[in-house]
Amino acid sequence: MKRLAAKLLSLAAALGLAVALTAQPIDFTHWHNPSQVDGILTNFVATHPSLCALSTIGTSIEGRPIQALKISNAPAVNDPAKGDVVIMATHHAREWMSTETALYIAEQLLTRYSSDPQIQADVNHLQIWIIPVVNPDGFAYTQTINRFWRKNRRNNGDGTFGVDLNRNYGYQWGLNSGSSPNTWDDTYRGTGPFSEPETAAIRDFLQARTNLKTILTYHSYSELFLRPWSYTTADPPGEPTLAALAQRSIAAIQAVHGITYNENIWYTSSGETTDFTWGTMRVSGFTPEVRPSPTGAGGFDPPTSEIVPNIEENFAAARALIHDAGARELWIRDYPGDTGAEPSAVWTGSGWSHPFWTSPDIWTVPATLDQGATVTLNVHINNNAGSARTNVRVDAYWTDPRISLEFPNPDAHLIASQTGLTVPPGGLTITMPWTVPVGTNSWGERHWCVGAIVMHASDLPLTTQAERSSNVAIHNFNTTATVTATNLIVAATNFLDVDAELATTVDTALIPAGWHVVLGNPPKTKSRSGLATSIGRKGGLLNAKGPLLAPGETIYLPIHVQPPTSAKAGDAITVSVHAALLPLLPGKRTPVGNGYTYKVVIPPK
Amino acid sequence: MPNAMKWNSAAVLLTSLLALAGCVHQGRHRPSLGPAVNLEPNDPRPVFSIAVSDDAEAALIRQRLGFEPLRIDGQTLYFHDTPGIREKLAEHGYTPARQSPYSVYQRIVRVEKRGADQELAHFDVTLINRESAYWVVRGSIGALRALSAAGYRLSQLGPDEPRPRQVRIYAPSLADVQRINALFVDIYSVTREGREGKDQRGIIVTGGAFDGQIDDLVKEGFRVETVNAPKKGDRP
Repeated sequence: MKRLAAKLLSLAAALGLAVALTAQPIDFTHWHNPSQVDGILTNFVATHPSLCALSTIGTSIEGRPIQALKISNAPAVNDPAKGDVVIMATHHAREWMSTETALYIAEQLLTRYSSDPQIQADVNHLQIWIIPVVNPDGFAYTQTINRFWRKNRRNNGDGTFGVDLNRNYGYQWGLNSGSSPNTWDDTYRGTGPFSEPETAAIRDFLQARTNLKTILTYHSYSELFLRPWSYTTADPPGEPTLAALAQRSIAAIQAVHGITYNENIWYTSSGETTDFTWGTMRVSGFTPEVRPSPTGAGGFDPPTSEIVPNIEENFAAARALIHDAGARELWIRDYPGDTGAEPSAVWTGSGWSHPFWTSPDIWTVPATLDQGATVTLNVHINNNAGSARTNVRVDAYWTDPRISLEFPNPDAHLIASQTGLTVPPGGLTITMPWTVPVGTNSWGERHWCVGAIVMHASDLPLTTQAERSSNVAIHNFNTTATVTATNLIVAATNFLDVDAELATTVDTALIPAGWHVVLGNPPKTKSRSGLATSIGRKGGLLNAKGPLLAPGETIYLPIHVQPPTSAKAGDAITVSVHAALLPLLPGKRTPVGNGYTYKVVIPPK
Repeated sequence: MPNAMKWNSAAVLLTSLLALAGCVHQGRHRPSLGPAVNLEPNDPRPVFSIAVSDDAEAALIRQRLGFEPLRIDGQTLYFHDTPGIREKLAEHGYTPARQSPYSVYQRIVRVEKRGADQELAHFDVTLINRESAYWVVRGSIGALRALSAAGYRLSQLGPDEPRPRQVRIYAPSLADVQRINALFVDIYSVTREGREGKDQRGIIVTGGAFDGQIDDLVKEGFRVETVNAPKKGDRP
């Protein structure tokens, strides 16, 4: 009977007859060969046309297509407002288990869309790309010639074949610690970064995603959940963020069948995929080395009974990462009008679309920051989840903004880490003491950045960059130096490599009635290009503009505070000075600069 | 049929007969190793080289000048002479030097075994694998010509050659895994030897390694065990 049904189906196919399409579950009790993988992808599109689309993102060295299945609620539309998640498998030809994992993830997202509200929301918010076979030539070769082939099928011209695609990515490519220069080795890295059409296709595809959130690149075997760096044993920037994601993933895997993945592989490899995404784009990337265990049977060719438990447990971890990318449950504003969209600001070519370093959800009491004083730092967490979120963690750091604006970063100082928080639907403001740094940052400014990160098991940040994660926010602060004098001198140095005009402003809103602040002429000024020093009042600011500074040149700006006659010794006002360098270049000039705030105290007579 | 074609056909037939005779003759005394190796340069264009400090510099040159090097071997970048390329490199401060293609182009080939491995030391070749009847070596076409001139029979690799052995490498500690990695062993897994606790001994690295790498591992003091390697077309 079965034979008859098969004959009828093949007859129908041969005659080009339409066969009713139903979303039959994929049989994961056996491996799928290349034509079966193609058939599954085609069938996904046929059975879920409103949820997925298939495209070819590149061609292998032997001319096979590298296919990507896009899963989204509008698969035909490229929506840059939606985050992108990319899931890849079979960089290494023999690692068939990885392709099964990717196919299962796709199947689950598509078939559970209508019944699982969280999957539906995530698919609606995201564009999820499944690339089940990055190395189609090698994958085909393992079917008939050599089950244990690893590389692609490049003819190296010396009698050998193949480049290790996961040693061919461009970040830290070419190190002998973890990739081989020898063509015959299984870890041969190729003649140059992205020398292979397969890795070049993946690079181009990833770089074309304007809102890439995270990548998962499946390998086998050993039951590991790996994160950058691969090329070195040193921690990457943002290690706590990556570690939290990896550990949550390991817990998710463990919860399904009790298998505990390890985090450490004990050796380095250079030119690897997730190093490329983290090192060049700060896009988190993870390399699950799936079943079997290092001591389990089969190695690269385990018993097929391992497939189902493997894909089930790995789907749990993938699902959580996908949710991180799609969720805006707990978030902190990056600027007053921020709605939680990611990214909150984009570089326009001449500046940022929004000032993402001015989070109104991070502030101090008092607002004036005297150096060395202990103030109360406030962080407000918004909650869009619709219900309270428990066991929330908030980390707050301060850092030198001239060194890094990422959070966390290796140079950041932890102010406090608060755990076990409950954030009700209306949000929560937490407070913590912060001792204001004394002195200046690396560029001689009294200017610091405070960053806050909110984390919950169902909503973790996927990057360290505030503008690209609603879980991360920053606020730049100027600290106040107390000056017991009424004449100030501010030094301004042109750190640019071109001449620049210096514009100085003082915020008049802070000057109480009866007091006057006068900007003096810099003692040393140049007048070039028809620009002249001038002082005037514009809006709420006193302006002094015009002095030109050569690269590396420093000038000194006098500021005179004139108290009212009624003032007495010890009375004080706040003087906030901002200096901006306007580079002397043709076209639009983008100012760069920073400010100081002084507490000016009248000295005793 | 035009006369020229007749002559061509006759020539082909004659060549085939001679080749067949050769095979029969060799087959009687020396089993065939495989198809003959082409020991001519892959490309007729002259080959030049420049010195680079590392792969990153080589990558930068590729990017800036938009050309594909022929090969990067340590601190030497080889390239085909194409119009203007040497001038461009000179503008960037490099001094291209002409190289013999016989020292630049390399082949990985079978070499009929004759005597001990040490015999190969007289020639500038690298041992990759030793099989029962032949070695698999890497050498420049110049070095391989010298081997051939010395009477060694060379042939092309068989399909799917060279193939690494599956090995177990016993190491005292996890820190040694990186030493094994530095020898370009393809590491499959790392496990602890013995059970957790008192009878914990060392580390077992399972991986793929060629005989030359296994020699290096042994020289480094590692105990290496070759596991029955899967054969061509092996299926579970």
